[in-house]
Amino acid sequence: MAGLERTPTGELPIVERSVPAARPDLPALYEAHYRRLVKLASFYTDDTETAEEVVQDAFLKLLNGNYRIESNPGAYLRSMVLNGARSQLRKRRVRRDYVPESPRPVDAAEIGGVAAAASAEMIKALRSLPEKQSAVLVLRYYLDLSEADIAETLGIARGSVKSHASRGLAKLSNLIPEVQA
Amino acid sequence: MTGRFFGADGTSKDPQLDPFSERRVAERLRSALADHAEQVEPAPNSYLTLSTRLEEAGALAPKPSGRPGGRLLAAAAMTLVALGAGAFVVSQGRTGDLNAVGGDGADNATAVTVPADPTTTIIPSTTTVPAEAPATTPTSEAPVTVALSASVVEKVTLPSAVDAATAAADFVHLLGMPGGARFEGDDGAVAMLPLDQGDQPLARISVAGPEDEVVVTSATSDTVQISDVFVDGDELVVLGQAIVFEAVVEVHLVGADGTRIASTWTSVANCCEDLSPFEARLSTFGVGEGFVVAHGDSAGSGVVSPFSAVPVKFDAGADDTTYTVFRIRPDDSDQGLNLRDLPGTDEGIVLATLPPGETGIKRLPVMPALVGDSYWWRVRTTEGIEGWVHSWFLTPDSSNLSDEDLVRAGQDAIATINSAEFEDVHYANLSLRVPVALGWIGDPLTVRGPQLIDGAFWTEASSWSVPEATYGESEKVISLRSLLDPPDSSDTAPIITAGPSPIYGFEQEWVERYFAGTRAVTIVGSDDDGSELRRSMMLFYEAGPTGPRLVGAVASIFVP
Repeated sequence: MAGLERTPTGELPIVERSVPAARPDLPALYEAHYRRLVKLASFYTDDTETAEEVVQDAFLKLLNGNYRIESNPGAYLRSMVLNGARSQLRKRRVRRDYVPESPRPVDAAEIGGVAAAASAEMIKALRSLPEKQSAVLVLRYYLDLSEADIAETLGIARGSVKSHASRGLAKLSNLIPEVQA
Repeated sequence: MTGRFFGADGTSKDPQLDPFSERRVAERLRSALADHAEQVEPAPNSYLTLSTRLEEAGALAPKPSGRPGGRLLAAAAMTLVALGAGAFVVSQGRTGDLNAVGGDGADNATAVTVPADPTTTIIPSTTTVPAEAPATTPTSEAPVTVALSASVVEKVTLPSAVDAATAAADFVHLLGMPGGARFEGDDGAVAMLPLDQGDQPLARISVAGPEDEVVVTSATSDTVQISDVFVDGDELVVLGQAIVFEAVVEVHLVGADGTRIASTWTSVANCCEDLSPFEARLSTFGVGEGFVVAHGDSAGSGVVSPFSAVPVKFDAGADDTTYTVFRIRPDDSDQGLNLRDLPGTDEGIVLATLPPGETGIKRLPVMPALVGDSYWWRVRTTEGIEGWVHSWFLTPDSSNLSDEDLVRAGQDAIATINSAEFEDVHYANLSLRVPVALGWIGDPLTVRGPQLIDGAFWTEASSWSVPEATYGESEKVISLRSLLDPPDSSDTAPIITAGPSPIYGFEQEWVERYFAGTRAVTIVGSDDDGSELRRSMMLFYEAGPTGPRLVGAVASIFVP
């Protein structure tokens, strides 16, 4: 069995498994990740309350699961938040298939202005992209993650990060031609 | 498949922006994301909310280190808490019976079609089932035709309860509807109310009878109603009307022992204001009694939906199922399923340890014991040893899965895989033939394998660090969809074969151990022109009540 080391009990490692762990440092995790993750989730969920639920679900999975918290909790949390937030987005799309969404309140021009409207349009276009593409773009241009970190978060090759980013930007420019202006 | 184009050299021909335009779009995007993020701030009490939630789920305690039974119970408890089921406690070791009686219970209950003679078959029809299905019976044996019948009945025997509220809670638990709720009422009807806002009942569960013989009637609600249950062909048809948030009604047939025998879902036209009619069809099996239950989709929120339930008897032919020891977790230290003299792990002694793959285990006609949120079954081994085992670890003997069923399941899996977009296939490392994924479906707590969500396999990227991939380098896989070349109009259809769980390359020990008792579908994807085998996936199925049930997967990449 090339490349495998048996555990002391003779078992074969398969995936990361449950190990005794110290009590997690919740305040540190919260301080380091919570706020940014809520903002990350909000790109998909529309409302902050749902975004916070998604993030709390991710914390719950992290701290209650078998994940080895000392390895890279940030990447794990990002991945879980993206999955959860996109799941919310899919559910909302399903709902939308059955029930027309009520019109969302629009900020008055003097509050949001043209720039805010443009940003909202961009976010809407971003949500319409394929999941991988939108995730790569959000991680790249909101969290400023490196290609390596994005690849780890999404579990894809670094080459895929580049291609998703490139395709995503191309699609955005197709959806909103004026962004090239 | 999306519109992807690849040239002869494999390079993408997707439209690209020139670098200048790309930078411009990227800056606009960055600005828009920043604008949006500025408007979002977590609630001021978010830390308190988070820590309370984690505390309630036990997530802030040190993780358990060892005993599998303890871990299972911890997992079960966590699940229970996560579902908000802490509202009631299910006790063990009760000996009496609780009778569930059909009919409408509450004042404003929906009328349920109950024949004059409650045990009269409503509409008989025919279905085909094997004459007998012991472990060694080949599926090619001639089946016999038996009539499927079903009827709404007065009384279904359930595990006992000591009072009306407990009976209602146990009843709800048996239906698979636990969650944050409280129970209020007296002898007449117990209202199941949400924990936070109590005015709108989730269900009214009628309770009657003397104190020493608590009797529960069918559950009704204002917003999900079952109006009729009858047989059509080989299906149980459930008619009703509902107001459900997600416009989806889930309908189940739940056995009197808590086994979910059949499930389906259907949509309603109007989700949120008026009662809309629905019709659901369930494929049932075996002979027994239980409940038809209908409820809305909680959208994964853990919030209990309003529901209704009616007791039924059904008969779809004899059930001589024997079982195989199957779901032994990889981290079980005892490497087998303990057969105990008492249900649960807290009391009694281990009579025997049944190794994975042990077949021919017969379930005895004894009421299962509810321990925590799990059922323990009284069984007899082929050696005649009788005792209690945790029902999660038994699966029907797999001989009743035909190759045709499995190939069909494989085709469905491919269709499912390909129904969603995935664009990473062409970037995977094809240099070595290595296993890149192994996991349990729907068992995130132990191995965190792929889960079937929204019609596609998804898993948590971080949990798929497979140390042996590429002989030492960790490789993480976010989706099993990436492991097949999805066939489309330009691809050659993949080769699908079915058979017993095979020895599978150098990971044979895993397959033999973890997928014992299952049968496998091997799917081999080929290159676009069919000349080169490139990837394979092995899907493992156990015999489910209504057909093959996917329980695990192994995927490999072939050496080109």
